[in-house]
Amino acid sequence: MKRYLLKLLAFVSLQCVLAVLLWQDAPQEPRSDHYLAALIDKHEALLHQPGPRLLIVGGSSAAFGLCSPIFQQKLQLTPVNLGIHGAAGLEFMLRHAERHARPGDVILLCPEPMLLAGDRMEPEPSLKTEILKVWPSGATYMPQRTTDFSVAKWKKYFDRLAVEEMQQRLRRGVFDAPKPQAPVRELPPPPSNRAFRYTRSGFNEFGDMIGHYTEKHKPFDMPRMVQLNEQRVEVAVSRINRFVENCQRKEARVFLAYAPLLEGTQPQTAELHSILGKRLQIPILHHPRECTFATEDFYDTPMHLGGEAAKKRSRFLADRLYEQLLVARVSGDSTIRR
Amino acid sequence: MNFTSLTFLIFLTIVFALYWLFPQRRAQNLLLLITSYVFYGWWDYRFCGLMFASSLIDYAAGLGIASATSPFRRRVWLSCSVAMNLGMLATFKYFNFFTESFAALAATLGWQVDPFTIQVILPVGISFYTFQTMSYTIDVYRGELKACRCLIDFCAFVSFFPQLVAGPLERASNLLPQFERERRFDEKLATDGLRLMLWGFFKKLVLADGLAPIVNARFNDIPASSGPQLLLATICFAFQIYCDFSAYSDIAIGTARQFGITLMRNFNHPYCAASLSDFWRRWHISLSTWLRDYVYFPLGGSRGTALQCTTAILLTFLISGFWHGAAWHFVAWGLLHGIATAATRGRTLRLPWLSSRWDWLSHAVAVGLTFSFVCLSWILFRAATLADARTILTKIAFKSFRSREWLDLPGDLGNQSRVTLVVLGLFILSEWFLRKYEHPIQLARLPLPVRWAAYTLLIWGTLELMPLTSNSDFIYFQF
Repeated sequence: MKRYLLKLLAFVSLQCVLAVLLWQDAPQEPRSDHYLAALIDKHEALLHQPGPRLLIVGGSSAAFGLCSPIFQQKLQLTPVNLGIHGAAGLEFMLRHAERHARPGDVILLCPEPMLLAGDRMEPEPSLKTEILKVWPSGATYMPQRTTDFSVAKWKKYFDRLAVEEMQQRLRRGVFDAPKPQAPVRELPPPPSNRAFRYTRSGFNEFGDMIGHYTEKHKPFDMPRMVQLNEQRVEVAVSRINRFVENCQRKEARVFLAYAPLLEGTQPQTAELHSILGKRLQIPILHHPRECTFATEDFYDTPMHLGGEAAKKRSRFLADRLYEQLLVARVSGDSTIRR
Repeated sequence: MNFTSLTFLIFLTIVFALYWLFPQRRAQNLLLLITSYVFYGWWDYRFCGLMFASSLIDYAAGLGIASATSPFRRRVWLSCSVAMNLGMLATFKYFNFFTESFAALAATLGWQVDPFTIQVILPVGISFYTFQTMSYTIDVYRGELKACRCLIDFCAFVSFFPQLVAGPLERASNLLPQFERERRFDEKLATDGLRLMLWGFFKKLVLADGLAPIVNARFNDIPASSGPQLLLATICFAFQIYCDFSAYSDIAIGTARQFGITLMRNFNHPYCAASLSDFWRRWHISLSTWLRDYVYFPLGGSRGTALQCTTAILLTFLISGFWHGAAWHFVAWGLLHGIATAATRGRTLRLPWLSSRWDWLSHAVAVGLTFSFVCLSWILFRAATLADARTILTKIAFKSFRSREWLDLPGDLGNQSRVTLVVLGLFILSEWFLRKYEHPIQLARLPLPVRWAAYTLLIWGTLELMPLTSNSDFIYFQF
């Protein structure tokens, strides 16, 4: 029995050593031009961009609808646009930003209405799978791991997801031949003579989506009326307030900007904005009606502003943010209240 | 708790450690009993009560038979046990099937009958443990086995977790005595058990799960599938079900060996069989021998006239079909095998003129013919209905010879499927050339570094090649 156990222990130890080697050595950044793989670049920027920084947190409306160079010029802050996809969920976006907020950072929170309404706290499951395929480390910011660690979820994670993560790393480690010296982005050039596609190479170095700037407006369906659920709104509000507190503890300042509104849809979100105005403990840069755009200003959805409109919105928000920061500097108050 | 889960590996490690920490038989049996109920309850705790009730009744029946003073009383006890076990199966597995079939039959005769159905979940493993406990009471009745006098030993025998859910369907005469005597750790047995488990994990995770998408894509969309696609899917299903089921048996047997318990071999390279009778001596051996000993032989076996023998064979295979599922296509599958087995009984598939010159070729042809028949019969097993099975067979028979559709086959397959088919090819070669061994990784004679390198390659190869599907249940869990 002793000999059996010793041999078994030796064999298992050998497998563990191999597992650790493969886990460590596997490159975390597959060379993919997938749209969601832009998260890798955004994450790198979040980790390494020198401060003070302007962190833009939101979904694809932030990615498509903001122009970082304008903020950089006006505010003298290094922008990092973390916007990617609303269905990634509010929790994922906030965790990612608050984990890496630094003293002196300014955080511009501009989530889509559905996120503010609490309709998408957790990531949409298929999108989560896609994100983890291209960016496995993103699992650290996904909410399911640590919240409500019930036996059923533990069983499911332990039985499948741990093995899946190991397989992902193994496949990249063994079959994708890691090249430590290779740059993070070895991507094909942005399509110049082809129609715009949602790709990683469509983002600029700040994380703004610019691939669509030369594209014309595409017709889209009008957004549906969202049924407001007060309980869900309360969940979103509490989480945002907690996000603000966490960031303030790290001496970072947080401001809220609403997503761009399609002309004529302001009444649909009026009730939501009214509740948010009362309950959010965060400076709100503008009233929603100050940021409405015509249909032609949007690219392909009511969330994605076209190039010129994105720049116009950015100038507007940069000015408002500048005023707020100036007020804060003059008053010596690092925790601004509206 | 699925075998192919990290939870099970942790569970097994804990049970193994506790088991050998207390080497006394009674303590070990009690531990196995408790952990087996935990294992079973992991599926659904409500099933535990049913299994315990079944164990209790058969334990009492065994004691009743042993202490009965007259043959009549002995028969009464046996009848109670058989009636209870079959009654449980009838209620949970066959009730809705019979009522709906009766209603359908009545409708064809012009009567309108509203079938009364019940909403019950089929308890996992019920077909296995009811047959297992029936074998106990029948063996006690026949005087081939002494009645067990310890309830813990008996319940541990019934609920022994490695073979509880999907076999091997152990005989009481083989397994129960192992619970009634002291067990010693056997290093060789345990080491080979680990190898068997490793091989089982490979077969299940890489082959069975890898072939599943190819099979499901065609069988779930028969109208859109071509003859060659269905033929490929049928062959893949033959190996999917073999790898899936034999993998479970391998893991079960390997696990039992860690506790010093030997379970019977359940598969012996069935696709190397040269006749149908040979196939049934190699496939699901535990069920085949159970049916042979408790159905076929009591019906007369081969001792009666040709008609009696044929009837016994047909009834045995009919019961086999029913055992597999409460649906007419399972019954048809069983009957088909029964008819073919009866027709080829005592005959060989080898061609005499070929055997005299090239025996190996004659043998290969016989193996090929047997495999082809078994493959085609699997269509009845896998198809959802008889009508679907008929459509598939028609397409294979009349539409498999269009070369254009064969050329399109590789393009229909994804990368994962192509890799799986390559691995399947290697597996088939290993099955054939290493068929005298229980499993291909019996490498005891090779040096340690070579053995460890082979095991390491198999482990990491399995991790690399296994498809990331969310459903990894074993096929035979549904029975």
